[in-house]
Amino acid sequence: MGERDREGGSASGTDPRQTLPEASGPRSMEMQACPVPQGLWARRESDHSFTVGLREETRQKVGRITAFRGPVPGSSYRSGDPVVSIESDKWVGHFPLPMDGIVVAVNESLYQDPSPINRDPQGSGWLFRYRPTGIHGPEADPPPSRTQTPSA
Amino acid sequence: MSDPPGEVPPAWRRLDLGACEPYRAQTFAESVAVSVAQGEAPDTLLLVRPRESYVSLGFHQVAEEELDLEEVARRGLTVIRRVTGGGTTFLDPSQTFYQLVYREGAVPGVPGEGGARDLAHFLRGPLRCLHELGLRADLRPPSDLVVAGRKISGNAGGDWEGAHILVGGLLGSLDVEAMADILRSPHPRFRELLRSEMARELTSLDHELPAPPAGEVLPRCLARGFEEEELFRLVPGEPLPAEEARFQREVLPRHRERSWVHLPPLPPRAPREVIRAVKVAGDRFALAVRMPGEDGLYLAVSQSGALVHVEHVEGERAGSSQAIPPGDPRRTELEGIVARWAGA
Repeated sequence: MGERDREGGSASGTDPRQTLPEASGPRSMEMQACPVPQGLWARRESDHSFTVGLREETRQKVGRITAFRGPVPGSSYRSGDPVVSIESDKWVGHFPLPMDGIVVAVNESLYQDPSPINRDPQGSGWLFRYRPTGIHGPEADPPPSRTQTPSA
Repeated sequence: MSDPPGEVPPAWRRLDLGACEPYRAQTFAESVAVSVAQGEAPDTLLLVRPRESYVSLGFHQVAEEELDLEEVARRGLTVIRRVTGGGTTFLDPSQTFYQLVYREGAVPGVPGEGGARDLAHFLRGPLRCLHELGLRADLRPPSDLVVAGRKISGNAGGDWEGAHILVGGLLGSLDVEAMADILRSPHPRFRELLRSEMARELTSLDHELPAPPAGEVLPRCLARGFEEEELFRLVPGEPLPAEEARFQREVLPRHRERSWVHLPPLPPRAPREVIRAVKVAGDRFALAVRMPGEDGLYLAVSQSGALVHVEHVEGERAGSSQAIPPGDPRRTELEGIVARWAGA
Protein backbone atom coordinates (compact mmCIF):
# COMPACT_ATOMS: atom_id res chain seq x y z
CA MET A 1 0.00 0.00 0.00
CA GLY A 2 1.05 3.59 -0.28
CA GLU A 3 4.64 3.57 -1.22
CA ARG A 4 4.31 -0.12 -1.94
CA ASP A 5 2.18 0.90 -4.88
CA ARG A 6 4.78 3.16 -6.33
CA GLU A 7 5.57 2.60 -9.93
CA GLY A 8 9.04 4.00 -9.46
CA GLY A 9 11.03 6.54 -7.51
CA SER A 10 11.30 6.72 -3.79
CA ALA A 11 9.66 8.58 -1.01
CA SER A 12 10.22 9.15 2.64
CA GLY A 13 7.61 8.66 5.27
CA THR A 14 4.98 11.30 5.74
CA ASP A 15 5.42 13.36 8.84
CA PRO A 16 2.21 12.87 10.82
CA ARG A 17 2.49 16.50 11.91
CA GLN A 18 1.65 17.46 8.34
CA THR A 19 -1.90 18.24 9.11
CA LEU A 20 -3.84 21.42 9.43
CA PRO A 21 -7.59 21.39 9.61
CA GLU A 22 -8.39 24.10 7.10
CA ALA A 23 -9.84 22.90 3.89
CA SER A 24 -12.73 23.12 1.54
CA GLY A 25 -14.08 20.64 -0.97
CA PRO A 26 -13.23 20.63 -4.64
CA ARG A 27 -14.97 23.44 -6.47
CA SER A 28 -15.53 21.64 -9.69
CA MET A 29 -16.17 18.05 -10.50
CA GLU A 30 -16.55 18.71 -14.21
CA MET A 31 -13.02 18.01 -15.38
CA GLN A 32 -12.12 14.56 -16.49
CA ALA A 33 -10.05 12.48 -14.10
CA CYS A 34 -6.64 11.43 -15.34
CA PRO A 35 -4.21 8.84 -13.96
CA VAL A 36 -0.96 9.90 -12.34
CA PRO A 37 1.76 7.69 -10.87
CA GLN A 38 1.88 6.25 -7.38
CA GLY A 39 -1.63 4.85 -7.33
CA LEU A 40 -3.36 8.22 -7.35
CA TRP A 41 -5.73 9.99 -9.70
CA ALA A 42 -5.76 13.72 -10.37
CA ARG A 43 -8.48 15.89 -11.84
CA ARG A 44 -7.96 19.40 -13.12
CA GLU A 45 -10.43 21.87 -11.68
CA SER A 46 -11.73 25.08 -13.22
CA ASP A 47 -9.37 27.16 -11.06
CA HIS A 48 -6.36 25.24 -12.46
CA SER A 49 -5.87 23.32 -9.26
CA PHE A 50 -5.83 19.53 -9.21
CA THR A 51 -7.93 17.36 -6.96
CA VAL A 52 -6.12 14.16 -6.01
CA GLY A 53 -7.48 10.87 -4.72
CA LEU A 54 -6.72 7.20 -4.51
CA ARG A 55 -7.33 5.08 -7.57
CA GLU A 56 -10.03 2.47 -7.15
CA GLU A 57 -7.62 -0.33 -8.01
CA THR A 58 -5.17 0.95 -5.43
CA ARG A 59 -7.85 1.07 -2.80
CA GLN A 60 -8.88 -2.48 -3.59
CA LYS A 61 -5.27 -3.60 -3.38
CA VAL A 62 -4.53 -2.08 0.01
CA GLY A 63 -7.78 -3.16 1.65
CA ARG A 64 -9.99 -1.26 4.07
CA ILE A 65 -8.41 2.06 4.97
CA THR A 66 -8.69 2.94 8.64
CA ALA A 67 -6.70 6.19 8.92
CA PHE A 68 -5.56 9.11 6.77
CA ARG A 69 -3.33 12.12 7.15
CA GLY A 70 -2.78 14.76 4.54
CA PRO A 71 -0.47 17.67 3.79
CA VAL A 72 -0.61 21.17 5.23
CA PRO A 73 -2.76 23.54 3.17
CA GLY A 74 -0.77 26.55 2.04
CA SER A 75 2.52 24.69 2.05
CA SER A 76 4.73 24.05 -0.96
CA TYR A 77 5.96 20.58 -1.74
CA ARG A 78 8.33 19.12 -4.32
CA SER A 79 7.42 16.34 -6.67
CA GLY A 80 7.91 13.07 -4.83
CA ASP A 81 7.53 14.53 -1.35
CA PRO A 82 5.33 12.21 0.70
CA VAL A 83 2.20 14.19 1.45
CA VAL A 84 -0.40 11.58 2.28
CA SER A 85 -0.32 8.63 4.64
CA ILE A 86 -2.97 5.97 4.92
CA GLU A 87 -3.31 2.90 7.09
CA SER A 88 -4.82 -0.47 6.34
CA ASP A 89 -4.32 -3.86 7.96
CA LYS A 90 -1.98 -2.24 10.50
CA TRP A 91 0.30 -1.08 7.70
CA VAL A 92 1.13 2.58 7.06
CA GLY A 93 1.87 3.68 3.51
CA HIS A 94 2.73 7.04 2.01
CA PHE A 95 1.90 8.74 -1.26
CA PRO A 96 4.06 11.41 -2.85
CA LEU A 97 2.93 14.58 -4.59
CA PRO A 98 2.76 13.96 -8.36
CA MET A 99 4.52 17.27 -9.16
CA ASP A 100 5.79 20.42 -7.47
CA GLY A 101 2.93 22.41 -6.06
CA ILE A 102 1.15 24.24 -3.29
CA VAL A 103 -1.51 22.38 -1.40
CA VAL A 104 -4.69 24.43 -1.32
CA ALA A 105 -7.09 22.07 0.45
CA VAL A 106 -7.27 18.79 2.33
CA ASN A 107 -10.36 16.67 2.80
CA GLU A 108 -10.34 17.22 6.54
CA SER A 109 -13.43 15.14 7.14
CA LEU A 110 -11.32 12.04 6.45
CA TYR A 111 -9.27 12.65 9.60
CA GLN A 112 -12.21 11.64 11.73
CA ASP A 113 -13.84 9.26 9.30
CA PRO A 114 -11.78 7.83 6.44
CA SER A 115 -14.61 5.56 5.27
CA PRO A 116 -15.39 7.73 2.18
CA ILE A 117 -12.01 6.62 0.79
CA ASN A 118 -13.27 3.04 0.95
CA ARG A 119 -16.74 3.77 -0.38
CA ASP A 120 -16.08 6.45 -2.95
CA PRO A 121 -12.35 6.99 -3.59
CA GLN A 122 -12.97 8.96 -6.77
CA GLY A 123 -15.67 11.15 -5.27
CA SER A 124 -16.29 12.08 -1.64
CA GLY A 125 -13.11 10.22 -0.69
CA TRP A 126 -10.87 12.75 -2.50
CA LEU A 127 -7.69 13.41 -0.51
CA PHE A 128 -6.32 16.88 -1.27
CA ARG A 129 -6.18 19.65 -3.84
CA TYR A 130 -3.04 21.44 -5.03
CA ARG A 131 -1.78 23.88 -7.62
CA PRO A 132 1.29 22.84 -9.61
CA THR A 133 4.18 25.27 -9.43
CA GLY A 134 6.74 23.60 -11.66
CA ILE A 135 7.22 21.19 -14.49
CA HIS A 136 8.97 18.47 -12.55
CA GLY A 137 5.99 16.15 -12.52
CA PRO A 138 6.62 12.63 -13.75
CA GLU A 139 3.81 11.72 -16.11
CA ALA A 140 1.00 14.11 -15.72
CA ASP A 141 2.74 17.39 -16.50
CA PRO A 142 0.05 19.89 -17.26
CA PRO A 143 0.43 22.30 -20.20
CA PRO A 144 2.23 25.58 -19.46
CA SER A 145 -0.97 27.47 -18.82
CA ARG A 146 -1.53 25.29 -15.76
CA THR A 147 1.94 25.61 -14.31
CA GLN A 148 1.95 29.25 -13.35
CA THR A 149 2.77 29.88 -9.77
CA PRO A 150 -0.56 30.41 -8.12
CA SER A 151 -1.28 33.38 -5.98
CA ALA A 152 -3.03 31.27 -3.40
CA MET B 1 3.08 -20.80 2.32
CA SER B 2 6.63 -21.59 1.32
CA ASP B 3 9.02 -20.44 -1.32
CA PRO B 4 9.86 -22.56 -4.35
CA PRO B 5 12.19 -25.45 -3.37
CA GLY B 6 15.84 -25.13 -4.08
CA GLU B 7 16.07 -21.37 -3.72
CA VAL B 8 18.73 -20.17 -1.34
CA PRO B 9 17.19 -17.77 1.16
CA PRO B 10 18.62 -14.26 0.92
CA ALA B 11 21.24 -13.13 3.41
CA TRP B 12 20.04 -10.62 5.97
CA ARG B 13 22.03 -8.80 8.61
CA ARG B 14 21.19 -9.70 12.22
CA LEU B 15 21.51 -6.89 14.73
CA ASP B 16 21.25 -7.90 18.39
CA LEU B 17 20.71 -4.68 20.27
CA GLY B 18 20.08 -6.34 23.63
CA ALA B 19 18.23 -4.37 26.32
CA CYS B 20 17.91 -0.73 25.30
CA GLU B 21 16.30 2.47 26.51
CA PRO B 22 12.85 2.88 24.94
CA TYR B 23 13.74 5.28 22.11
CA ARG B 24 16.51 3.03 20.84
CA ALA B 25 14.39 -0.08 21.28
CA GLN B 26 11.52 1.42 19.30
CA THR B 27 13.09 3.73 16.72
CA PHE B 28 16.60 2.62 15.81
CA ALA B 29 15.02 0.66 12.95
CA GLU B 30 14.11 3.99 11.32
CA SER B 31 17.79 4.80 10.98
CA VAL B 32 18.43 1.34 9.59
CA ALA B 33 15.64 1.90 7.06
CA VAL B 34 17.60 4.73 5.44
CA SER B 35 20.76 2.66 4.98
CA VAL B 36 18.76 -0.33 3.75
CA ALA B 37 16.87 1.84 1.23
CA GLN B 38 20.10 3.43 0.03
CA GLY B 39 21.83 0.09 -0.37
CA GLU B 40 24.38 0.82 2.33
CA ALA B 41 23.18 -2.12 4.39
CA PRO B 42 21.43 -5.39 3.56
CA ASP B 43 17.92 -6.18 4.65
CA THR B 44 18.11 -6.42 8.42
CA LEU B 45 16.53 -8.19 11.38
CA LEU B 46 16.83 -6.32 14.68
CA LEU B 47 16.31 -8.16 17.95
CA VAL B 48 15.86 -5.95 20.98
CA ARG B 49 14.00 -5.58 24.26
CA PRO B 50 13.16 -2.43 26.21
CA ARG B 51 15.02 -1.77 29.43
CA GLU B 52 12.08 0.22 30.84
CA SER B 53 8.36 0.28 30.27
CA TYR B 54 6.95 2.85 27.83
CA VAL B 55 3.93 3.61 25.68
CA SER B 56 3.86 3.43 21.90
CA LEU B 57 1.26 5.21 19.79
CA GLY B 58 0.37 4.07 16.28
CA PHE B 59 1.47 6.43 13.52
CA HIS B 60 -1.98 7.93 13.00
CA GLN B 61 -3.15 8.08 16.59
CA VAL B 62 -3.80 11.28 18.54
CA ALA B 63 -2.23 11.12 21.99
CA GLU B 64 -4.93 13.19 23.68
CA GLU B 65 -7.66 10.97 22.28
CA GLU B 66 -5.99 7.68 23.13
CA LEU B 67 -4.12 8.19 26.36
CA ASP B 68 -4.83 9.12 29.94
CA LEU B 69 -1.87 11.48 29.93
CA GLU B 70 -2.05 12.10 33.68
CA GLU B 71 -1.78 8.40 34.37
CA VAL B 72 1.03 8.05 31.85
CA ALA B 73 2.92 10.86 33.60
CA ARG B 74 2.17 9.43 37.03
CA ARG B 75 3.77 6.18 35.96
CA GLY B 76 6.73 8.05 34.47
CA LEU B 77 6.26 6.49 31.04
CA THR B 78 7.77 7.83 27.86
CA VAL B 79 5.35 8.12 24.93
CA ILE B 80 6.79 7.26 21.52
CA ARG B 81 4.94 7.61 18.24
CA ARG B 82 6.08 4.76 16.01
CA VAL B 83 6.07 4.94 12.22
CA THR B 84 4.09 1.74 11.84
CA GLY B 85 0.37 1.15 12.12
CA GLY B 86 -1.94 -0.24 14.75
CA GLY B 87 -3.06 1.02 18.13
CA THR B 88 -1.62 2.05 21.46
CA THR B 89 0.64 -0.48 23.12
CA PHE B 90 2.20 -0.72 26.56
CA LEU B 91 5.69 -2.17 26.28
CA ASP B 92 7.71 -3.51 29.17
CA PRO B 93 11.01 -5.33 29.75
CA SER B 94 9.29 -8.72 29.61
CA GLN B 95 8.79 -8.30 25.89
CA THR B 96 11.19 -9.24 23.10
CA PHE B 97 10.91 -7.33 19.83
CA TYR B 98 11.76 -8.38 16.30
CA GLN B 99 11.98 -5.63 13.71
CA LEU B 100 12.45 -6.38 10.03
CA VAL B 101 13.75 -3.69 7.69
CA TYR B 102 13.79 -4.59 4.01
CA ARG B 103 13.46 -3.38 0.48
CA GLU B 104 10.60 -3.88 -1.94
CA GLY B 105 11.04 -7.26 -3.56
CA ALA B 106 12.06 -9.05 -0.37
CA VAL B 107 8.69 -10.76 -0.26
CA PRO B 108 7.66 -13.15 -3.05
CA GLY B 109 4.57 -12.08 -4.91
CA VAL B 110 3.29 -9.12 -6.79
CA PRO B 111 4.74 -5.77 -5.71
CA GLY B 112 2.20 -3.56 -4.05
CA GLU B 113 -0.03 -6.35 -2.75
CA GLY B 114 -0.16 -4.65 0.59
CA GLY B 115 0.96 -5.10 4.15
CA ALA B 116 -1.15 -8.16 4.83
CA ARG B 117 0.98 -10.12 2.38
CA ASP B 118 4.22 -9.15 4.13
CA LEU B 119 2.81 -9.84 7.57
CA ALA B 120 1.62 -13.30 6.56
CA HIS B 121 4.98 -14.03 4.97
CA PHE B 122 7.31 -12.94 7.75
CA LEU B 123 5.22 -13.89 10.77
CA ARG B 124 5.96 -17.51 9.94
CA GLY B 125 9.27 -16.86 11.72
CA PRO B 126 7.97 -15.94 15.20
CA LEU B 127 5.20 -18.50 14.76
CA ARG B 128 7.82 -21.21 14.32
CA CYS B 129 9.61 -19.96 17.42
CA LEU B 130 6.39 -20.28 19.43
CA HIS B 131 5.93 -23.80 18.11
CA GLU B 132 9.49 -24.63 19.11
CA LEU B 133 8.67 -23.44 22.61
CA GLY B 134 5.87 -26.00 22.66
CA LEU B 135 2.95 -23.64 22.08
CA ARG B 136 0.12 -24.33 19.65
CA ALA B 137 0.18 -20.91 18.10
CA ASP B 138 -1.54 -19.60 14.97
CA LEU B 139 -1.61 -16.46 12.87
CA ARG B 140 -4.87 -14.55 13.21
CA PRO B 141 -4.76 -12.31 10.14
CA PRO B 142 -3.67 -9.77 9.52
CA SER B 143 -1.16 -9.47 12.32
CA ASP B 144 -1.84 -11.26 15.60
CA LEU B 145 -0.18 -14.43 16.80
CA VAL B 146 -2.50 -16.31 19.12
CA VAL B 147 -2.34 -19.27 21.47
CA ALA B 148 -5.70 -20.97 21.87
CA GLY B 149 -7.32 -17.82 20.49
CA ARG B 150 -5.54 -15.46 22.88
CA LYS B 151 -3.11 -12.92 21.52
CA ILE B 152 0.52 -13.37 22.51
CA SER B 153 2.11 -11.21 19.84
CA GLY B 154 1.04 -7.98 18.12
CA ASN B 155 2.59 -6.88 14.85
CA ALA B 156 2.39 -3.93 12.47
CA GLY B 157 4.25 -2.41 9.58
CA GLY B 158 4.82 0.58 7.41
CA ASP B 159 6.85 2.15 4.66
CA TRP B 160 9.55 4.51 5.81
CA GLU B 161 12.29 6.35 3.98
CA GLY B 162 12.05 4.00 1.01
CA ALA B 163 12.17 0.76 3.00
CA HIS B 164 9.57 -1.40 4.70
CA ILE B 165 9.53 -1.88 8.45
CA LEU B 166 7.68 -4.73 10.17
CA VAL B 167 7.72 -4.70 13.97
CA GLY B 168 6.37 -7.13 16.51
CA GLY B 169 7.01 -8.61 19.89
CA LEU B 170 6.33 -11.56 22.12
CA LEU B 171 4.58 -10.84 25.41
CA GLY B 172 6.67 -12.20 28.25
CA SER B 173 4.16 -11.32 30.94
CA LEU B 174 0.87 -9.50 31.08
CA ASP B 175 0.24 -6.31 33.04
CA VAL B 176 -3.41 -5.70 32.17
CA GLU B 177 -3.71 -3.07 34.87
CA ALA B 178 -1.06 -0.90 33.26
CA MET B 179 -2.31 -1.66 29.76
CA ALA B 180 -5.82 -0.50 30.65
CA ASP B 181 -4.92 2.36 32.95
CA ILE B 182 -2.83 4.29 30.42
CA LEU B 183 -5.79 4.48 28.04
CA ARG B 184 -8.25 7.35 28.09
CA SER B 185 -11.45 6.21 29.66
CA PRO B 186 -14.83 7.97 29.55
CA HIS B 187 -16.03 6.22 32.72
CA PRO B 188 -14.34 4.27 35.54
CA ARG B 189 -16.33 1.19 34.61
CA PHE B 190 -14.93 1.37 31.07
CA ARG B 191 -11.45 0.84 32.49
CA GLU B 192 -12.65 -2.16 34.47
CA LEU B 193 -14.16 -3.52 31.29
CA LEU B 194 -10.86 -3.02 29.49
CA ARG B 195 -8.97 -4.89 32.17
CA SER B 196 -11.31 -7.85 32.12
CA GLU B 197 -11.37 -7.95 28.32
CA MET B 198 -7.60 -7.80 28.09
CA ALA B 199 -7.23 -10.56 30.67
CA ARG B 200 -9.65 -12.62 28.61
CA GLU B 201 -8.19 -11.94 25.16
CA LEU B 202 -4.43 -11.73 25.80
CA THR B 203 -1.90 -14.19 27.08
CA SER B 204 1.85 -14.28 27.68
CA LEU B 205 4.78 -16.66 27.75
CA ASP B 206 4.87 -16.81 31.55
CA HIS B 207 1.23 -17.84 31.55
CA GLU B 208 1.60 -20.45 28.82
CA LEU B 209 4.92 -22.01 29.81
CA PRO B 210 6.01 -23.62 33.09
CA ALA B 211 9.42 -21.97 32.73
CA PRO B 212 9.42 -18.89 30.52
CA PRO B 213 12.56 -18.52 28.42
CA ALA B 214 15.22 -16.34 29.96
CA GLY B 215 18.08 -14.22 28.66
CA GLU B 216 19.05 -14.78 25.08
CA VAL B 217 16.84 -17.82 24.58
CA LEU B 218 14.07 -15.86 22.89
CA PRO B 219 16.23 -13.84 20.48
CA ARG B 220 17.94 -17.06 19.44
CA CYS B 221 14.61 -18.82 19.09
CA LEU B 222 13.24 -15.99 16.93
CA ALA B 223 16.31 -15.90 14.71
CA ARG B 224 16.12 -19.65 14.29
CA GLY B 225 12.42 -19.42 13.44
CA PHE B 226 13.05 -17.01 10.56
CA GLU B 227 15.92 -19.15 9.26
CA GLU B 228 14.15 -22.48 9.58
CA GLU B 229 11.21 -21.08 7.67
CA GLU B 230 13.82 -20.16 5.04
CA LEU B 231 12.70 -16.57 5.02
CA PHE B 232 16.32 -15.45 5.09
CA ARG B 233 19.78 -16.47 6.30
CA LEU B 234 21.17 -14.36 9.10
CA VAL B 235 24.64 -12.89 9.16
CA PRO B 236 25.55 -11.35 12.53
CA GLY B 237 26.39 -7.68 12.19
CA GLU B 238 26.81 -4.40 14.00
CA PRO B 239 25.08 -1.06 13.44
CA LEU B 240 26.93 1.04 10.90
CA PRO B 241 28.55 4.23 12.17
CA ALA B 242 26.22 6.09 9.79
CA GLU B 243 23.22 4.42 11.41
CA GLU B 244 24.38 5.41 14.88
CA ALA B 245 25.04 8.95 13.73
CA ARG B 246 21.68 9.27 11.98
CA PHE B 247 19.89 7.91 15.01
CA GLN B 248 21.50 10.54 17.26
CA ARG B 249 21.26 13.39 14.78
CA GLU B 250 17.85 12.85 13.17
CA VAL B 251 15.73 10.05 14.59
CA LEU B 252 16.08 10.74 18.28
CA PRO B 253 15.54 14.53 18.10
CA ARG B 254 12.43 14.06 15.96
CA HIS B 255 10.91 11.58 18.38
CA ARG B 256 11.67 13.81 21.35
CA GLU B 257 9.89 16.77 19.79
CA ARG B 258 6.58 17.46 21.43
CA SER B 259 4.98 18.15 18.04
CA TRP B 260 5.84 14.63 16.85
CA VAL B 261 4.11 12.99 19.79
CA HIS B 262 1.29 15.48 20.17
CA LEU B 263 -0.17 16.15 16.76
CA PRO B 264 -2.17 19.31 16.01
CA PRO B 265 -5.75 19.02 17.21
CA LEU B 266 -8.18 17.48 14.80
CA PRO B 267 -11.19 19.46 13.59
CA PRO B 268 -14.23 19.25 15.86
CA ARG B 269 -16.08 16.02 15.44
CA ALA B 270 -19.67 15.81 14.41
CA PRO B 271 -21.74 14.42 17.29
CA ARG B 272 -21.08 10.72 17.42
CA GLU B 273 -22.79 7.81 19.06
CA VAL B 274 -19.66 5.70 19.60
CA ILE B 275 -17.57 8.11 21.64
CA ARG B 276 -14.71 5.75 22.48
CA ALA B 277 -13.51 2.53 20.93
CA VAL B 278 -10.53 0.48 22.06
CA LYS B 279 -9.44 -2.53 20.09
CA VAL B 280 -8.74 -5.29 22.58
CA ALA B 281 -7.54 -7.92 20.11
CA GLY B 282 -8.58 -9.13 16.68
CA ASP B 283 -12.06 -7.86 15.90
CA ARG B 284 -13.02 -7.40 19.54
CA PHE B 285 -13.61 -3.86 20.78
CA ALA B 286 -14.58 -2.19 24.04
CA LEU B 287 -16.97 0.67 23.22
CA ALA B 288 -18.58 3.61 24.96
CA VAL B 289 -21.82 4.69 23.30
CA ARG B 290 -24.22 7.57 23.77
CA MET B 291 -27.72 7.01 22.42
CA PRO B 292 -29.30 9.85 20.46
CA GLY B 293 -31.66 11.92 22.60
CA GLU B 294 -30.49 10.30 25.83
CA ASP B 295 -28.04 11.49 28.44
CA GLY B 296 -26.94 8.03 29.46
CA LEU B 297 -23.72 6.22 28.71
CA TYR B 298 -23.60 2.63 27.57
CA LEU B 299 -20.54 0.40 27.59
CA ALA B 300 -20.35 -2.47 25.19
CA VAL B 301 -18.12 -5.18 23.85
CA SER B 302 -18.37 -6.05 20.19
CA GLN B 303 -16.95 -8.98 18.29
CA SER B 304 -16.79 -8.66 14.50
CA GLY B 305 -19.39 -5.91 14.64
CA ALA B 306 -21.88 -7.83 16.81
CA LEU B 307 -22.64 -6.96 20.43
CA VAL B 308 -21.57 -9.55 22.97
CA HIS B 309 -22.07 -7.46 26.10
CA VAL B 310 -23.86 -4.23 26.97
CA GLU B 311 -24.26 -2.33 30.19
CA HIS B 312 -25.88 0.98 31.05
CA VAL B 313 -23.64 3.00 33.37
CA GLU B 314 -25.13 6.49 33.33
CA GLY B 315 -28.56 7.95 32.85
CA GLU B 316 -32.03 7.77 34.30
CA ARG B 317 -32.73 4.25 33.11
CA ALA B 318 -29.41 2.80 34.27
CA GLY B 319 -30.34 0.03 36.67
CA SER B 320 -28.30 -1.31 39.54
CA SER B 321 -27.45 -4.54 37.74
CA GLN B 322 -26.54 -2.53 34.65
CA ALA B 323 -26.12 -5.40 32.19
CA ILE B 324 -28.71 -5.26 29.40
CA PRO B 325 -30.02 -8.64 28.22
CA PRO B 326 -30.78 -9.57 24.61
CA GLY B 327 -34.26 -8.49 23.56
CA ASP B 328 -34.20 -5.26 25.55
CA PRO B 329 -35.14 -2.43 23.15
CA ARG B 330 -32.08 -0.44 24.22
CA ARG B 331 -29.86 -3.33 23.24
CA THR B 332 -31.57 -3.63 19.89
CA GLU B 333 -30.97 0.03 19.21
CA LEU B 334 -27.35 -0.29 20.30
CA GLU B 335 -26.87 -3.26 18.00
CA GLY B 336 -27.83 -1.06 15.08
CA ILE B 337 -25.47 1.72 16.19
CA VAL B 338 -22.53 -0.66 16.63
CA ALA B 339 -23.20 -2.43 13.33
CA ARG B 340 -23.16 0.94 11.51
CA TRP B 341 -19.98 1.93 13.32
CA ALA B 342 -18.26 -1.35 12.47
CA GLY B 343 -19.26 -1.11 8.83
CA ALA B 344 -18.04 2.45 8.35
